[in-house]
Amino acid sequence: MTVTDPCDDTHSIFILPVLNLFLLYAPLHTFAALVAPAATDQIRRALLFGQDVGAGSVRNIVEHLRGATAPVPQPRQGEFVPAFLGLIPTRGCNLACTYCAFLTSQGAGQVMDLRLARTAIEWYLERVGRSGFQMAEIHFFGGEPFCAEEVVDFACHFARLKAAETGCTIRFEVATNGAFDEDRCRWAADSLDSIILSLDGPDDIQDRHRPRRDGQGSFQTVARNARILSEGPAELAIRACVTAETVGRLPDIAAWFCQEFRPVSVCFEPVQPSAPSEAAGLAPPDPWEFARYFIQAARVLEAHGVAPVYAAADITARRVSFCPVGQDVPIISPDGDVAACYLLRQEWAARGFDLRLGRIKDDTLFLDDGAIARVRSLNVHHKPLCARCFCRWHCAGGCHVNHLLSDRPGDYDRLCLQTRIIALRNLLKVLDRDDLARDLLNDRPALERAVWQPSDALADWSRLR
Amino acid sequence: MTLYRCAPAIVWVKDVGQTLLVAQERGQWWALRGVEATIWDLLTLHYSFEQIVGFLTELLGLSGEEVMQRLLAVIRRWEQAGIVCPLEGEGSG
Repeated sequence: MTVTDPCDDTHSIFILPVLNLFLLYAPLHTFAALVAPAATDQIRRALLFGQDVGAGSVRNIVEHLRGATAPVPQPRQGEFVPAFLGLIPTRGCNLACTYCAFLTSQGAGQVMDLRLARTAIEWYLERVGRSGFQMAEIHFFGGEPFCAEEVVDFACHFARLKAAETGCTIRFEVATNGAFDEDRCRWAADSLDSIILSLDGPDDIQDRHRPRRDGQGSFQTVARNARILSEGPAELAIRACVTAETVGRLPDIAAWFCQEFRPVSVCFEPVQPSAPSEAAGLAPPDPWEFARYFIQAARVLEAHGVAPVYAAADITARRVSFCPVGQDVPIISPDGDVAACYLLRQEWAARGFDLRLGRIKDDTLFLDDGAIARVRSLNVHHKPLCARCFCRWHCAGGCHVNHLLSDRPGDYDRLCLQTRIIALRNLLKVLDRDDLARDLLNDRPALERAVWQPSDALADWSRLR
Repeated sequence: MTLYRCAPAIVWVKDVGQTLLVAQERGQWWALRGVEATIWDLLTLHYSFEQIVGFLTELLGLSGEEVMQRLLAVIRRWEQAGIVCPLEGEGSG
């Protein structure tokens, strides 16, 4: 008898109840299908115990699932080859967003020295060249990067000059609040490749969530700039923070974004609870509500040709770490610290993490091999809750710092629940069965059966059905 | 030190690796690449002459004096071509 565990690391196959059918999902085979209960049992027995299934579509499925899979995602090994270079020109910001914990951070006014940016870029492009890559990428994080605009300008020009010397193509991405003047906005639209613009919605939401430091609203400026950016060659991606108050408006916000601007994607993310967000009375939305309204908003966006983004539920991703932490990305702070994470050091240190990778000192970037190994060990292979979740290779456990996971199977939290619902809908949409997703979302007991099952592994299916 | 701005009759567009300047009324155009494209970029962002010198000093790894001479040469050439003009109300340098 052939015994293959389809749920071990080399053969991950999952099953989820979808009303009176089952969704069979094998991400490493890039396979998904809706199957009847009887067929599901046949497939399971064939895969686990080698039972014959005769001819027909069930046999085709079994043969496909017995076939070669994509490699199991693994943490990086060997030489440190950055996926991109992260620069934090400053932690300072010209807005005073009511939910932002960065505002109160130490060293918020510090601006990166141009020489430090130069050292980081030279080091990075040398690594890119040594690795034989033809493409380099620099991402600017904050604070607000344009509060240190000379650093952004310098980094772009210097990197372009250096990249041209080596025949390398370089692209730039910035995460920005969009609260800058028109000339700067036109420059960004013409000079950068991708702009992640934080805009939480129409004026009442934006001005409540994201006021200026003088207390005035930021909406007029940011909306004007979003229109300018919509006309430029840079890709515009809008990122909106969602609270319990605004979650019910997501479909309307999505429609408004599409009418007013030309984003390539819109990302809705629930507010991350923090001392400032709690003080402002801004709570994260209920996960069931968030998922429901996100999916409604997604349909609006899709109808306009705009990609809806909830990154953890990206079913095209195959990864062991959700964020730059797993991608050998050096993120350079204004003081020269090199870390794997763009969050404030005090945030990850408070959770017991040490995400430092090295330091820039005396015009040289030093990396610590022990630190690299430590950071690479932060991956989904070490997250027991994720082991038998169908989102395992997509969300990879989410943010290492802010998404604290239980060790108990099925002990899903708010982020897990909304990720599982949205990922399930994304799979049904790929199967051209968004109608079934709609029915499932309208049937709360059926949805809960799918979302709360402690293991999605096919091997566990007989015990759980 | 004189501040310069882009001449009002000039329109420009960024292309891969270059900035194209056009004086439509005169039927003239220029393609700026490398450091010249950088200088143009900084002028459009209202950098002062001193700021551009500091920027280019770090960018090119040259001394401030060398950068200033190169920058002055470029600006004079552009001024003669009518690409830039001194900002009104500023003293000459």
